[in-house]
Amino acid sequence: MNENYARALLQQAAIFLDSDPGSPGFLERFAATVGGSPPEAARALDTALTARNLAGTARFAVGAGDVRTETTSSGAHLSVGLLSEGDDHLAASVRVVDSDRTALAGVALRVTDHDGHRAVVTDEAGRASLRATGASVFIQIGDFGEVGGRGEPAGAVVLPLRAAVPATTYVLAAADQTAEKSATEPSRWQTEAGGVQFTCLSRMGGSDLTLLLREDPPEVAAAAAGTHGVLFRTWGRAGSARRWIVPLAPGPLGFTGALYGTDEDWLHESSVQVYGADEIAGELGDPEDDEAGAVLARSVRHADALHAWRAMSNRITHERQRATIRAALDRHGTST
Amino acid sequence: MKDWVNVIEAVARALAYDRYEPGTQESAGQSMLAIVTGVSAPRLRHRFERQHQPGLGHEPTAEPLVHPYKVPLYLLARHIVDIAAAAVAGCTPQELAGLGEEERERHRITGIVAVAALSTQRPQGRLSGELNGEARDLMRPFRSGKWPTALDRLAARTAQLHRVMLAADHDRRHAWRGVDQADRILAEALAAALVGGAADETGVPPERWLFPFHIFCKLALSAARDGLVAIEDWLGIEFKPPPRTPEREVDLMVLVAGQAGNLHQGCRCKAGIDPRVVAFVPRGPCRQADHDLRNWLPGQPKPGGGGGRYAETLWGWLRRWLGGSSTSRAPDGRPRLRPNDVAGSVLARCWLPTDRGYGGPLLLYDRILPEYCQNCGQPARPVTTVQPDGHAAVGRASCCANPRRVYRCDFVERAGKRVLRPKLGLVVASEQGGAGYRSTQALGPLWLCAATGRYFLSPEYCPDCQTEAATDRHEPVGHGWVLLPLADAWQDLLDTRHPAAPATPVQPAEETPVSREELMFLEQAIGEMGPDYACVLRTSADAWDVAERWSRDEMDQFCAIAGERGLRLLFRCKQEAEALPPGERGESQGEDGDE
Repeated sequence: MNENYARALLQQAAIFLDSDPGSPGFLERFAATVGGSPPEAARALDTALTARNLAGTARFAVGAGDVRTETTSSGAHLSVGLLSEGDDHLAASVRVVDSDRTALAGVALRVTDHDGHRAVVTDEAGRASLRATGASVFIQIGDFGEVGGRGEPAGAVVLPLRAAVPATTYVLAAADQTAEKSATEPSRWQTEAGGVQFTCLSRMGGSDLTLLLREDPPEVAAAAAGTHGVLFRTWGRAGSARRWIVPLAPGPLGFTGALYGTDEDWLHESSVQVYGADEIAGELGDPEDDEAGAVLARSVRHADALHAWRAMSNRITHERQRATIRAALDRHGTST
Repeated sequence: MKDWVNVIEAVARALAYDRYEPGTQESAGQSMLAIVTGVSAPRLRHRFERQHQPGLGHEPTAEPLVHPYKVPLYLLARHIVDIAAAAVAGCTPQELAGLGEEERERHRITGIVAVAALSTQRPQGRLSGELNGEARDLMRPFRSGKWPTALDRLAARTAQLHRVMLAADHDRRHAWRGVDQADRILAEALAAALVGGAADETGVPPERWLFPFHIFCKLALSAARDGLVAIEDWLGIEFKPPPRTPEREVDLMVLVAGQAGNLHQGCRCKAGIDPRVVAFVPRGPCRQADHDLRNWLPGQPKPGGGGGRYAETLWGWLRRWLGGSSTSRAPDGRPRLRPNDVAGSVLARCWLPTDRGYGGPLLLYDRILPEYCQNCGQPARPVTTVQPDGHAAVGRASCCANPRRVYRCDFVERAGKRVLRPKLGLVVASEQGGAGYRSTQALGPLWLCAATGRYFLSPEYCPDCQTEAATDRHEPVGHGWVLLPLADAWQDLLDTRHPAAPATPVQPAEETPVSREELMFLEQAIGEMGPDYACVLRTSADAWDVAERWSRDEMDQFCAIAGERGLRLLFRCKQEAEALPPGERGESQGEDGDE
């Protein structure tokens, strides 16, 4: 078999595995999409299926100028490097090895940048090179069983929170800006998910996120500060996923909330949910748990509107969560 | 054994107190401890980015900015080693300077090991300046497991490397801005000790030790860049992506980060190489003394008594490992490298054999088919002549009156027997290239006669033995590389096809119908998937009817049981089932249904 043809077939097989829903009729769809003679198709499918299983699942963001090695759910290692080429272009390189550090050929990775998402496949040395736009990229390997918020296939689940072109001059904080300014301004980026509009302003000390509830549900419309909040998940340049809570307060434009000095680049589209105060407490779980406590502490630390947090802590009926929020508010008040 | 928990806690408190930007009103979230533990610091990143922006009054830099490599250097320039050592000694940095040299070095080594241990931690919340509640969480991992023993070993190996590196004290080619030479040597010793596996007992992989790992990778990237340029100068060609581009830099970054994660298990430069790339059986793991970081002793004699010495600096070790041993140059400017230096290097084995989608050229270590004259037994000698148009033409010098060249393996006579010595060497290959070497892969498998060393194409027809049947004297060797331009030896190789064989490369014969045994194999494999899957397969159409309804998970399950053979059979069943007239396929299904 011609080596180049075999390589092309493996690439098609890996991309098919990545994009196919996996429902009954799999082999028929595979044969129709990938083709090849029985031995060629069998080898490509076997290699791609094995590589997919060995590679496991992982998803994270990488910023320009970062090099990182992540361990996937199966113990495989994924090394990613990303360098700026000037303007908003990035050169990226990826290498996937299994838990024995043997290169994995035929692994499809879903890469999301400011231009959208696409799949790249590793070669026989476990490597893939690509170019991207923006200041960071989001990489997903394996299937997390999610479908993009816009009906797109698995992997298309994140939206950029920041502009592709980094701001050359930094601006004042979000609270000092008027909401009518153009959304296409490089330092000011807008995106919308779950009925909430996110506006991001990049500053020297991090990014400020302003949340505006675009479509007030009837139960929210007449609510006071801290009655409702937005729970969502992001990925920053530090790589791992982080959850946030932003309590909403009524304002001239509607219900708003803000986070100051964050370092987040990608928003998990389907994670954006508007909840009542007690629902948030329920979603978050036990604050004694490290992760839940960290979400509360982090969200309070980056909040500007502490009155909304105080109001929310008064409304939460769950005693332990209320105590955790108050402790975080006390710490925040002390340090500021 | 040291009380590492107390040592690390003392160092953590000292680093938490020390703001990274003296004189500013930064919160403790931006302390040295926050930076060591990988807590995001947008201000610090912004500072590095400004340093790399030309036109802002800063020195423009040619290298792209790699943030994680900047952080340890920044901390070293802020005298993190002395701050940590003073915390270990329970004194101020000024008092530390007054201690005896031996005692001070001991505290400095303990301090830097504590910093390395802290760099494995990722605190969830913010770190306050006083480390009140956070210290408990931060210290928790160090209280359990094998941390104290592992840290003792790491400190001991660091001290050993530090001592011999100081004794060798080779000039370093590049200074790290603002970093004392003593701090740099100590940091290099720590990085080599850690990546060499001295702290393996902790169970934390090297890449999680941010502080030492990125020092190692920074030096490795510099050595890889240099090694690749040396190989290019030596060969007189340029690989893709071109030098001084972000694409090359990022490819090398990922290569060295991946390889550095392996070094604690010994060198894995020969692991993971596709056997199809090398036309011989791989000879097991790498055994080069120079490639084993675990045993590196800077500047000391190497084992074996050959008179060689280990590299004196970490950069020098990395340079040998990544891209050849010699960095000196001949009077004509060509690097003094040997083929063995290049062939055994990590760049040649792991980075250059594939083109990563950039379209070649490639550098391979593979089987070369030497040309010999059948009449006089002399090897063909290439000669280069310059054409009137200025181009160089490669030909073969005449060896005798009636040369007849063939591809033949080298051999030596030992105890009256011929022992074949296959020629393995560096091959530069490009799909578009008209010079250099060409693969025989397109001709199909290559065979080697053990009696005469002759290469030929048909297993049943050796032109030297004149045998008409396959024998155990003939072994398959996959493929080889022949010198370009092709000459009469190539034609001779083409003539070694069996007289009955077609002139063009053999196409796979049309698949035979799926046999009863093959259907039974499928039946058994499907049955093993679970009781619900048990079935009787009479025809290939039956098999396809079962398999076409499967989901990906079911296919995955089948594949794990039946492997590639099972998949191949399913695809053949599909072909046969679809070739049947619609009525016949339906009848087959009907028969199953009746039962």
